Amino acid sequence: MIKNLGQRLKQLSDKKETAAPMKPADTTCWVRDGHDPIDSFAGLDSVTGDHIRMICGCDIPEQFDIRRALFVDTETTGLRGSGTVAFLIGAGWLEGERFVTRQLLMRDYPQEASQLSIFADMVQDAQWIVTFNGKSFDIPLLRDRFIMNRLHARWRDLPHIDLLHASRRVWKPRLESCTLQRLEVELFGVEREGDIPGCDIPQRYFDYLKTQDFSLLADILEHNALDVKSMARLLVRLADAYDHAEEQEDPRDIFALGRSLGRSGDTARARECYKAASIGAISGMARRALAESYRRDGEWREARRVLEQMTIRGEGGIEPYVAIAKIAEHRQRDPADALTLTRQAMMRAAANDMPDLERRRQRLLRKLEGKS
Amino acid sequence: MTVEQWIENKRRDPGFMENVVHWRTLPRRDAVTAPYPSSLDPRVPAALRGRGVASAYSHQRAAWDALDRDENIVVVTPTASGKTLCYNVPVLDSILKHPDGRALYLFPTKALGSDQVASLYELVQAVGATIKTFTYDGDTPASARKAIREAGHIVVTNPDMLHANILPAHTKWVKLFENLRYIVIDELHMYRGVFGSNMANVMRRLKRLCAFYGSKPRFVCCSATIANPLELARTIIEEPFTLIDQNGAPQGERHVVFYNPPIINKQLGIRKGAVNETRRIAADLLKADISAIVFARSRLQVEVITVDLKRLVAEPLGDSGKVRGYRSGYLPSERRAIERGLRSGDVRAVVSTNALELGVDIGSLDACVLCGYPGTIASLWQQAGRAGRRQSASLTVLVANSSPLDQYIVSHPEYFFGQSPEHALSQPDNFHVLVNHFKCAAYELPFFEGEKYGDLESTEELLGHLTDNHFLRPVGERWHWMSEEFPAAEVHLRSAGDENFLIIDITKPDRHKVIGEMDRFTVPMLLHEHAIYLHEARQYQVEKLDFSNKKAYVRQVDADYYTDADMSTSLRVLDVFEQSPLGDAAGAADVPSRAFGEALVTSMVTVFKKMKLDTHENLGFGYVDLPETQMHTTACWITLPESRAVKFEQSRLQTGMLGLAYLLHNIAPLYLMCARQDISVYYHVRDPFTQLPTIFLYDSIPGGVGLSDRLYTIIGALFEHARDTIASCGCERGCPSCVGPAMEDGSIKADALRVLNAFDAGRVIA
Repeated sequence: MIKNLGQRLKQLSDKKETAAPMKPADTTCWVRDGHDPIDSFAGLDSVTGDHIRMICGCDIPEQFDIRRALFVDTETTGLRGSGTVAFLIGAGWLEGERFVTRQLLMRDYPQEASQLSIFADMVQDAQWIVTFNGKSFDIPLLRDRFIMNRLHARWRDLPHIDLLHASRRVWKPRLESCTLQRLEVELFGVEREGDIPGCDIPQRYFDYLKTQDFSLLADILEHNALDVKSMARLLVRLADAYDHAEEQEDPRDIFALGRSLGRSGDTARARECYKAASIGAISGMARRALAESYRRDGEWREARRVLEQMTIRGEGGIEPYVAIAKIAEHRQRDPADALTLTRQAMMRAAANDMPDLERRRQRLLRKLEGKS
Repeated sequence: MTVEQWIENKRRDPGFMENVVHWRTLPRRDAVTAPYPSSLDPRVPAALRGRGVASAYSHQRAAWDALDRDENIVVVTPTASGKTLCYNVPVLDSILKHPDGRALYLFPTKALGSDQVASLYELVQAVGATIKTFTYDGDTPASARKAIREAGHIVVTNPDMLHANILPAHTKWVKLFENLRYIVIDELHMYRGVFGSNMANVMRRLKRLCAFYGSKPRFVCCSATIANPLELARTIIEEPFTLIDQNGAPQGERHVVFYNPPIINKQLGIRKGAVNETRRIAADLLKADISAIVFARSRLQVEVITVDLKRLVAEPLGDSGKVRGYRSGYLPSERRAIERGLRSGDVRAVVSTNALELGVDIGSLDACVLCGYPGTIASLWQQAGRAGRRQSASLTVLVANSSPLDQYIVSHPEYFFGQSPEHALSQPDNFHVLVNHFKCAAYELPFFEGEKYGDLESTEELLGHLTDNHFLRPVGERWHWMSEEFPAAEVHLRSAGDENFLIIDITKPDRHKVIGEMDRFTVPMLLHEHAIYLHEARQYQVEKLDFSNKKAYVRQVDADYYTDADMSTSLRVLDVFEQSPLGDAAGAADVPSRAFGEALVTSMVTVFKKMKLDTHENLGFGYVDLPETQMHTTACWITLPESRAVKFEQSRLQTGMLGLAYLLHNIAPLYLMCARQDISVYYHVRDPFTQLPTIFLYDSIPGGVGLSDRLYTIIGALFEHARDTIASCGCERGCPSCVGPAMEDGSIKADALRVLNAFDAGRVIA
């Protein structure tokens, strides 16, 4: 045992009194419900399993019913590890003609068990969980809290839609950053006023714990409710974007949607998107993707036609020349044509591309010699 | 030539024998075996027999039997005595019987961990069951981590990873914590001093989480020979332990030779350099093709000796791969290659710092040459243990340098052979360490009212402290973590820290290559701009040192010199913990006094010397421009009262204090059971804090490890010893064996003795 432990500790801080745990007045968490008419989420009730398949970019395990999707967002005391708690869990769902938001607030630590069990009960009726960045944050954190409270997290097995990843797939080329607030501004034209910055939330909650001044939490509750509702609107917006992929205003969005559709196997619509996006700054990128899509399916002539457009428009540097040369050599068995394309590429090539092109040229020359 | 023939030759070589001050032959020992226990799953003994291990050694059997009785064990047997089977067998057996069971292996370094996984893996293969063994450390790819957390039967890691990564995220390791049956802690002797205090607290946190998840694992510790393995295990783990130390493994005859280089200047007491003599002996072994390991005292020494030996064996084509250097700072891949070379016999000689003292598997070598006494008896045996075969003879040569400690050891062989090895000391309740880890523990799991933390009497005060500082919120009989801080990130288990600098070779402009790394404290000494940095005996010159980005850019050069930097140090007292008069003059004013407290030590490298490679002569110097390094530590100091100081002429006082400080520094390790480099000395003819002539001895480890505290109480004995050393030393005016080499003007020895007497309150000084 350290000599004068207490004394030495006191040297570290000037406080004199030592605190003992206070008795908790109440171990039941605080629940706040909110309701919004379905009109403010126009289109939410027509989100279908097909939409989800496109939005997630993968096959979904079961039937989708939007009324059994639970939108979940947490506010926490930190970023990681077992010392971090989700002091506020916000959840939202569509019920009848209303969108219901229910917030479970842990007014102090002893209320956590109650908060988590209420959450577990709520999730029991849900079939899907929808979050924004929940895959790497909210859901693992909640799981950790369940473990720490020795509660069984059955909801862990529910299928999960993470709107952050879905949004990045669609809007990253245009927006770079895809935070929820940024998306609200860009997609809905709404800027939150007086919203508490996320990084201030833990300290605000600690201040509340120390002072027990409940008004400190008003901003956080508001912020959380907005997040939950925003997710619902974002889901509608995503579904709409996929429904009208080719009609999006910005070619970058169309291109991104096309790429996403292509990845989930909808080649025809992907190509339509690439064609629609073949204007403006990203037309080269869109044509390249279109050509690649044809090439992958062995539609050489179509691929070549798109690549030739690129050469005419001067898009993609030497790349389309080389790509056509490859098609000409290996698919259309026309080394003379391939040689012409290779020479054209060489006229436009930078020094460090020359060795490869030269090798190709030599090979084609040998092929031609062998033929004659 | 066999090592036996080499030994016979040397015995008949008067040139060698005249410098041998002691030759001890330890007889060979036969194996003591025991049958495999019938309770084992038959697949385990079958696998062992398949690998040619027909029966167990007695100590292995004793270990298994103790674990069978639900006891924790600490195994202390020499290198290569089959220590790992003491835990691998029961762990594998347990997993075969209960496939849900888990085991956690802790090694003090990553290298030892990966070594262990390789050999464990072979045994698992032989057993032929699905037992998943994984290393979990900083190099484990993120993609593999999840699988390891869920499915790894045996998780091999290090205390740092456990502390910063596994414990704070324990919810991700539920399977491990719920089913943990064995915790293996190898190289237990490493956990002493501050590192030990940290380890003890990591264990407290680990046990606390095991209790939360409902497991009660047993502990298996393995240690090199120290005086108090049982006590150390109990201190670190805070559980009862059974000691297993009756080695049943066979051992060939061992020769331990103390070699003292000849005196070349009798008046100054200067001997031939230990480095040169070591090199000569190693070269001789190399010529006879006897596999050998050379232990040098510093990284620079390793490189200098390696250069020489490589030159010796260089073939016409320049291949000198038979000789390798080995030290911290080499890249892991390079180290693994050297270890493989040693095991296969392709590498015939390795020159190493104490980095190879640990259980890295390099097989057994024939001979070991130590360039200087490693500082502790335990270390010497550990290093000597690198040479030793089960059947044939082996040889260890200790080449003494001219330091008083070395001279004492070689001239008092009975001290070395008679003394038990050092005690490994550690204090789990080291104040700063305790507070830091307690924070981590509170973060990991809320404390409940009345909960114990290790063997700490009560947690009340700590909980109160953390509550007052708003880290914890006490409510509902629990203390909850209430901070955004991630406390484990603030605590480093080792003093050197992880702040390693990368060494980047820019010889080829388009292919920059990382060739090594170095800890922050050593960088100013070895990687300052214009330094010649030796790596694997190749010379590089440091072109640019990017201190803020922790990178040193070096270019390969061919120079005939190396560089050696001078560090200038200053010390400032921050706080006095205790103070009292020195000796019996208690109460009397104006007497010499002693004190201990907290100090800030600032070091700065300002100049470096250029030394010729073969002759080690000084060729010139250069300046270094680098920020200073600061270290908080504990210090013990003694002051001379004004009334006594005035009797000295200023320059005589200065010289005398220099000599006395030198002497105290050299004999203190004998009393503190630490290495010479664990403590440092500093003196001020007029210290700004005490206002008096003051000699400081301080812990050279950030935070201090309690050495100064102990010095404070034993300073009297140290003075006695100092007086004897001066009296019995045969030199005239001072030599490296007592107060340091004599100065040109006058006798440092006489001055030091006079200052020593002045510190003796009972003595009247002239």
